[in-house]
Amino acid sequence: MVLGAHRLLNRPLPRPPDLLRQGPLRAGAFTSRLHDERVAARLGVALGISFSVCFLTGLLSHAIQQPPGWFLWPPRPVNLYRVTQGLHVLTGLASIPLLLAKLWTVYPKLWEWPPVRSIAHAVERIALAVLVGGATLQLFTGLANIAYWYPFRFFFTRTHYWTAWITIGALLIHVGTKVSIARAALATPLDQSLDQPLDQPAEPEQPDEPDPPGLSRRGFLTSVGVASGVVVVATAGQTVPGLTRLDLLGARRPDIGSQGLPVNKSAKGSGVTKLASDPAYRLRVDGPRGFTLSLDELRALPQRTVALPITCVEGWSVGARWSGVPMGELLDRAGAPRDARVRVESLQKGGLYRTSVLDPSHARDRLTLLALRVNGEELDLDHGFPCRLIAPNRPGVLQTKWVARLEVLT
Amino acid sequence: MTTLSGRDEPRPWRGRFLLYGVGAAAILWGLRGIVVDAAVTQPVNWAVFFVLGVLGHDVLLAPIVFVVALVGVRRLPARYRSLVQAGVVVSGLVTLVALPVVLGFGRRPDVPSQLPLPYLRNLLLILALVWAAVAVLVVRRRIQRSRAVME
Repeated sequence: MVLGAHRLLNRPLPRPPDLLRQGPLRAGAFTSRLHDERVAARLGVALGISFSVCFLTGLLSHAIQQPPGWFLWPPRPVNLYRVTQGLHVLTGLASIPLLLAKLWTVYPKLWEWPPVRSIAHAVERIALAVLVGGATLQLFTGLANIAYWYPFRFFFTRTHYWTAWITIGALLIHVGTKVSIARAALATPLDQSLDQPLDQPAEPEQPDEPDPPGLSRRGFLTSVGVASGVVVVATAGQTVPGLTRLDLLGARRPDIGSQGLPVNKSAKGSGVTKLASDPAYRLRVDGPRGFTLSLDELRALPQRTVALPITCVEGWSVGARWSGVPMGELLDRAGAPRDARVRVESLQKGGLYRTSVLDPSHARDRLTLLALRVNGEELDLDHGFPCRLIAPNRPGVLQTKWVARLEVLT
Repeated sequence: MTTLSGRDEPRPWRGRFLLYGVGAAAILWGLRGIVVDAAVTQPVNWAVFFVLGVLGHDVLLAPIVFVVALVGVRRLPARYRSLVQAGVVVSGLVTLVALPVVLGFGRRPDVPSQLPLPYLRNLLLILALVWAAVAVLVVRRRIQRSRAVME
């Protein structure tokens, strides 16, 4: 039965009349030596690596923000999320030149003749269209999102997440169809000439002609690699300390922003300016022994200073010194059990990130603070005045600002 | 397109059916998510962008690149053609990636730290460096040739 299906799927379909074979469909319509399986295979390997890293780090970031029941994200090492999310954005950026070069290399295949040889071939081509659409959409939406540009109506994060599954699935199918060809192509040196038509007997020993002028296959691959490298170097400074001065194309500079830190959501944009600067502000802690504190009472509690990064899902991050009340002290005072989760609620009236939940390992970490100060100054309104959550190894969207209430969840 | 097949037609890899199965499952899982989360994923708008991605490359970007190459490449002096082509490839790719920040559609008046840099200037700076490198390589090639001729 399997054999029967196999035969049916691979049975040659009738060829369309050759009269239709015009323009780019003609044999030999594409003459550049760069349209070559060896180039495609090498770009493919690079893309396979960058897409895999991008996919896995993306899944991880998604799991941290929408944790399934079995998932526990540790508070240490404090810079881990900084690394994984930095990698996510940088591999995505590096993939853009690679993908465009790959598509250009294999572009003649789009115009192969006959367009469909068999049912199996048709399925393969459809899967390929899904891969091209998915990969293009992922890289485009990712690139637009880190530049805060939303020309689409769908919500970025969820759609990017689901499209990632579609893209990686189509990529697996593509690898399955190409792996043996790619293996042979990788084993063949780039500068070997394959110019004689393969289906005709080779001409008797021709003296090697000098290479025609123009970019060689090696030169093309090098140029694409340089382009990816330039993109990475010009953006990595938004997250890698020490490269800040090379940050030419990053959407952020770690040292530009109020109090020397970038801001994602402003107080004005979140509509909290009035509530946050109201002298009647009180922090409410709800637990077995709930209580409220005014800002002065918060300031009067023992303070701790910690060095922690603020890490944005958009791929920028920067370390800062935060001072404030240790979360553990507030929870003890409220009589919270040590294994309790804690919901942190903002003054914001709405918005996706109005609240966040601390799991016990984060809630009880000695680095987790309700911060009142940053880098030696009282928090600016835009950084979450009167107080904000800062915890180790956590995406910035979960470091709730303008905290109004802590709720011990039991 | 230059292919290797025909020399030694490589045997298809046996494990490919496993990848087909896992790949198809992942695609279906993703599609299910798009449908289940329709309120946020906006499937129609999503599908439009999905198809635009394919068409944007296949019928817009790629043909432009081919026309530019067809018109431009032959006019370059044969001797330095490869270096100039390399410069064009790098410049084109870097410019495309930089476009969203250069255009700055995402700027918001209430968040000045978003897109805070002079991106057009920075892009031009990078392109100047790329072409300076090309110029250095052209000069080097010239010197090498004249030496070769003298010998």
